[in-house]
Amino acid sequence: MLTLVFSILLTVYLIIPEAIFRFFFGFFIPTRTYVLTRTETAFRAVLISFFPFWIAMGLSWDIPGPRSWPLPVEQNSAQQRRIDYKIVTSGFYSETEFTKSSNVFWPALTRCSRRQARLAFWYFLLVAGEAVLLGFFASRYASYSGKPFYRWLSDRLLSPYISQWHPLLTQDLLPGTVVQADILCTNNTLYQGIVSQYFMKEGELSGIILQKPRRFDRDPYLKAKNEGVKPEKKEYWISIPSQHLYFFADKIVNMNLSYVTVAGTKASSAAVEKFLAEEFSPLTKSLGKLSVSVVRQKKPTSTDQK
Amino acid sequence: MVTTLSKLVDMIQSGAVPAWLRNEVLSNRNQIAAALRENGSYTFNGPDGEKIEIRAEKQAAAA
Repeated sequence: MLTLVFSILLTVYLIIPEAIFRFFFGFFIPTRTYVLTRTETAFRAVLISFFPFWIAMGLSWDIPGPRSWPLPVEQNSAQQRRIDYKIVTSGFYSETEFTKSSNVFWPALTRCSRRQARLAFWYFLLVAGEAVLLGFFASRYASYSGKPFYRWLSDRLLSPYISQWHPLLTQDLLPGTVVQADILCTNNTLYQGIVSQYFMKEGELSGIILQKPRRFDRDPYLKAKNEGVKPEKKEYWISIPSQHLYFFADKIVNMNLSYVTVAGTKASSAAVEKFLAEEFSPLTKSLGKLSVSVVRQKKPTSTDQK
Repeated sequence: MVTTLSKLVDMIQSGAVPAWLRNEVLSNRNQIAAALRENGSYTFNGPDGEKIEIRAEKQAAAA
């Protein structure tokens, strides 16, 4: 009987809070997928529930208000709590003890259940609040990624909850860009387009939709190359008359991803600034901080999508 | 293995640097450094008319 009670407590205090955390966290990362093993799930559950649990415990035991709401218990002193839990544990442990104390067992079980339900209420509420807070920060990763504490928090706590496909296939990390994918399929055809949607199944990519798709006409290109002409690659892209072209993931051999600014340049000011700052960091002592500005972006032309 | 978010971000952001800029920095590092010391700024010119300017605060203030 104790094993059954232990399983119920494990479910209530670890498995359900982890599910609640995922649910609320998922509101902020639209296409989330969780790819954790059972051991990782248990470890993460302990990690995310640690603070909410102890705060909920404090609230439901000592703070007026939460101490008696919801599900108030009349006899709720520390001493009465201990007596109740002792009666209930003994009753679950031994049938003889249960028979001996059957008169007081059921009232004690009712009080214990109400206290546990009240604790669980505050606990779940705090876990949901924690998930909302962390989800909010996770969805704004690009804004905070330069702060060391936030990077540490993200790496230790948030990374396992975010599928690697989300940052790779969305522009969340590079605002102001679109994700351009070159997809080589199993039939040796190369396609290019803007990533519109992607789909996951059990943690793996199952499909991807490209907008403004085009196909590389490889055979004529190779023929021209063999004939000694220097063919322009952009002349061999053929537009596909489709707004949304779906690719099954199992037909994809590889994928090249580029984060293209709306103006058409493969550059993000933040990325350029970071790159140049790192490259010329030895100079900053003598020259001071280096600032970077994109003076003029490439103008989009009609040949960009050819 | 689940990679960390910060490593993934660094990788994505480093990939968002245009190849022409990366090549110019790698091949003309000394000239760029010299220009920054002398003039306090250097302008990179991309193949399609892009212009990216880098300025050194101390040198620019002195100028």
